[in-house]
Amino acid sequence: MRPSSNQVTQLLADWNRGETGALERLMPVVYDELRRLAAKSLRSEKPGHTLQPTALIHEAYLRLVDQRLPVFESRAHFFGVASRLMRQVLVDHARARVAAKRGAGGVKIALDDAPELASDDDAAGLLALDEALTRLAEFDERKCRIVEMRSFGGMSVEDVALALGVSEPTIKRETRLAQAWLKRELGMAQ
Amino acid sequence: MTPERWKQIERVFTAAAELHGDKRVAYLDEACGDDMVLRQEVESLLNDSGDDESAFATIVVNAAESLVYGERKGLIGSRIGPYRVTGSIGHGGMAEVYMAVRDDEEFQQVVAIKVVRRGMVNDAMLVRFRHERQILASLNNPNIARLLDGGTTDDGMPFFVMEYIDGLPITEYAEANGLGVNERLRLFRHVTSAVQHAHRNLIVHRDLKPSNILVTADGVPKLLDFGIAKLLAPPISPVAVTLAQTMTEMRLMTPMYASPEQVRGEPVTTSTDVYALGAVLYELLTGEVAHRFRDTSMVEIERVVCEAEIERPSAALARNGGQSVRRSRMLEGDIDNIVLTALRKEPERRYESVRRHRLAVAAASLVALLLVAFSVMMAMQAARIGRERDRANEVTKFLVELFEDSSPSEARGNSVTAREILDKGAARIDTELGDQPELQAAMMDTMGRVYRSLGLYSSARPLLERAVELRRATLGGAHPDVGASLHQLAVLTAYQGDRETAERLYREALEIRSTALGDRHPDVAETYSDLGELMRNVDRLDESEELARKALDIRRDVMGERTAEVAFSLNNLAAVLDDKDQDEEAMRLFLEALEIKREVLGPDHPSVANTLNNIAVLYRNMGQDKAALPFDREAVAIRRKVLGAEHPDLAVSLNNLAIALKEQGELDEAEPLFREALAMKLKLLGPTHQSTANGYYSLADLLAAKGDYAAAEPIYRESLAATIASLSATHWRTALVRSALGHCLAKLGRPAEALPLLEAGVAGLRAEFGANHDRTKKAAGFLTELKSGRG
Repeated sequence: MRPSSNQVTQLLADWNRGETGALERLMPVVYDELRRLAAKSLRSEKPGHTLQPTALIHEAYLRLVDQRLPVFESRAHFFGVASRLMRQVLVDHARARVAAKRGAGGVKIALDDAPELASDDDAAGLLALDEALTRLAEFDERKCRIVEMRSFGGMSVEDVALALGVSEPTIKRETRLAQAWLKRELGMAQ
Repeated sequence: MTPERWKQIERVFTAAAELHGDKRVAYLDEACGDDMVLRQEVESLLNDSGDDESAFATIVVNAAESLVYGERKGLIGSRIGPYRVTGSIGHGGMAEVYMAVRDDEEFQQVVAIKVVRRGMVNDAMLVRFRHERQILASLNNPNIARLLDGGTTDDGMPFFVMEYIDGLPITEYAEANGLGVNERLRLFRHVTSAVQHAHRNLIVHRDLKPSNILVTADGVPKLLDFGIAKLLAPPISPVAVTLAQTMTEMRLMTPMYASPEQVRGEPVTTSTDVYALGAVLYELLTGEVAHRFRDTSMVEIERVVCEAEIERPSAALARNGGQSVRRSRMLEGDIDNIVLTALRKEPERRYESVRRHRLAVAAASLVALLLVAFSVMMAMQAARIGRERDRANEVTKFLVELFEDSSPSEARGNSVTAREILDKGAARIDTELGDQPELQAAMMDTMGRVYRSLGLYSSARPLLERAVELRRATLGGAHPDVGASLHQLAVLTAYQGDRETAERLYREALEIRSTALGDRHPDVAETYSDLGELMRNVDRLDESEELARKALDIRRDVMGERTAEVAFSLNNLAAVLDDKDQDEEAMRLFLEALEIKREVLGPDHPSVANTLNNIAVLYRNMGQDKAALPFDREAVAIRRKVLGAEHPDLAVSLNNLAIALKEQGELDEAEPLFREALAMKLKLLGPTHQSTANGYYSLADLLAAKGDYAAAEPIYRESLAATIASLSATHWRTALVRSALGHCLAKLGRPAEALPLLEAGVAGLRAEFGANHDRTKKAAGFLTELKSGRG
């Protein structure tokens, strides 16, 4: 049974407080909602109506969660938590894919010479990013959160600033350093 | 890393990042002192810091795409149509490529199958796939890998089956075999003539690159993927809506061989292929790529492709010294010129290999379309601006001059020109209307809408935003024109998928419009109506209904009962009610909309056929098949008239009508319709399309219903083959056809053949629907009948 938006909100809050059990119940709900929205957006005939994944993610949370409940201080706070959940959902998915691929044993060759960042193995790339973020958090938790909110949550600089209670220039400055560090960690340096 | 050390790094990094050149060096000298580790760390981070925010966004978007739209499925070992997938060849951003064999009894053919990734297509694209596949399959040239087949997989994704080519990319082949300049040119000549062959058939490749030009061990070059890129690209032009979308589109082409028009998102033509050929030839002759990028940012790609001058091939080769110097002399003169001509920035200055007259027709019709769009909007605009004749005249003058100055040149003869007219117009609004802010704002509003109607959202947005701003500044925030521009911006925003903002903008527009114009104005109704549609899209059906009713009420009152607007409102309201399962009321409104549309738009308007179709579908959903019949009939008649004798929509309509007739027991009337629909599907969609398979099935079922089992048998067999080819051997539709064929054979007194078919059919249907579904029960009934007949 699909939990009500009340229950989803509570689960999200529980997970945010560190109850890992909540995650197991959240994942399939988020997953289903994303799929459903994706199917819906693909059926649309009008040009430009096929939503980008990040837009879908936003929409999915808006549908799933009742933000009016007092567990969230603000919209920014809510999306901050949602960003972290999104990271978790994507990592979980990527792990499953990597495992499946190992099982299948197929060797893949990149066919085109597309820019390297947009290419090869999405799942491995995501897992590497996740691990690098975890390392970053060990000595600078806030920068990890910033990248999470910007990249996984698709949040604006303004919203990130609100969620973390610091100024926008600070967010921009810290983003710059965090990205430089991560790029180097991921071997994406030019 | 300790947090303390990191803080230190951060402090120095942040300060240094603001400085450049010598100042940065001086600062680092001072701040780091003897701490060389610190200095290295900061310098390496500074190297990696850029404004490139897209790096992680791409990783995340790719991962999200896979989650949301589904896995790139490992298809190895499975079947796609009649092909057995044996291995993976590779993958690109849009598709997976597999090696497969077709196991027919007579022969085994190895093929390459390209399966489009989930999330990369929408319904409109699927329709185009079907049309264009036929054209591509007709390309017959020894140097072009043939498109053998195509269809959709079990889960609805398009695939293409191509001749499998075992070879090396042309550049690698030339290196591996140590070919000299003349041999390379000879090889390339085959490539050029193959491309020309395709161009004569008006097929553009759009993605020529070495990895698409393979040379077999016998030295025969083969071009892959002809015309496929076009099927994957949006119909008008890439629309750079969001960063993520831009990245997706960039993956559609390879910047290394992309032409300026591709990078700018403008329509591509045969000249685009000429450019890519030039880039490939450049690399083949010099070993270096023509485009040299410092990084992979959009800005850099655009700069290099659209602006940077390309080094002469002979000069590029000469730089390598040694052997190359002698070879570079062979390139000087003619070859340098040919390569650089092909690589001209302006498409019309590359050499043409096109049949101009066919292209000119396409271009002319697009320009005509634009002109109509313009004049309609201008008429509306002129009226709104204030009925002042001179003002309207100024608008007209502006437009006339625009078109006079931009008359499409013969050499271009394609739709690039149409886009240019628009761009030029947009630029002129800035330069020439600066002293007339009201007119300037009106024109921005109009041009923004034209861009929007062409799907060029990123060009539309700044114009509509500035129209709002400018009107606010000149007319005051409460002026109805501000509301009008806000409304247009809301429509755009909704198209772009940001529904939350769209709703806010609509509500703002509504407030301004109803305050300025009163509650019962057509413009207020317009905002109610569009906001209502938005609410329907986000499943807020009660609000949607309320808004649709308000819009309808105003339109009826102010514009008159019997107007197209009222008919559209009725239709929208009916759609909401349909969503809310209020079938009776929805039907009543659809019927009313139909009546008005007929009266106002004429009885043969395609919009009338659509409503007729909606009504027939709703009747059938309500279980009133008989009532659906006349609506089906009329929809067929209109579509026949409007769409011509052959069109997929007409085939679907015909089939629906025939089914409806059959349900009513009108078997003799239904048969010719089934046959007509089937013939049309065979011709338009090919023998292995699912719709064709259904066509066979419907006809066979009809013949069986008439008791003519002998005639039905071969047609059931065709249906079975086509169903397996288009879906799969394990799909429930295959089970359905099997059990029908089994029943048919039982009736023909061939129980031994019938039994395995019926058993497989029942098993397949039970697996899909369970034992209690009508389909399963019917098939099980056939099986019981057969067994009791035998026993």
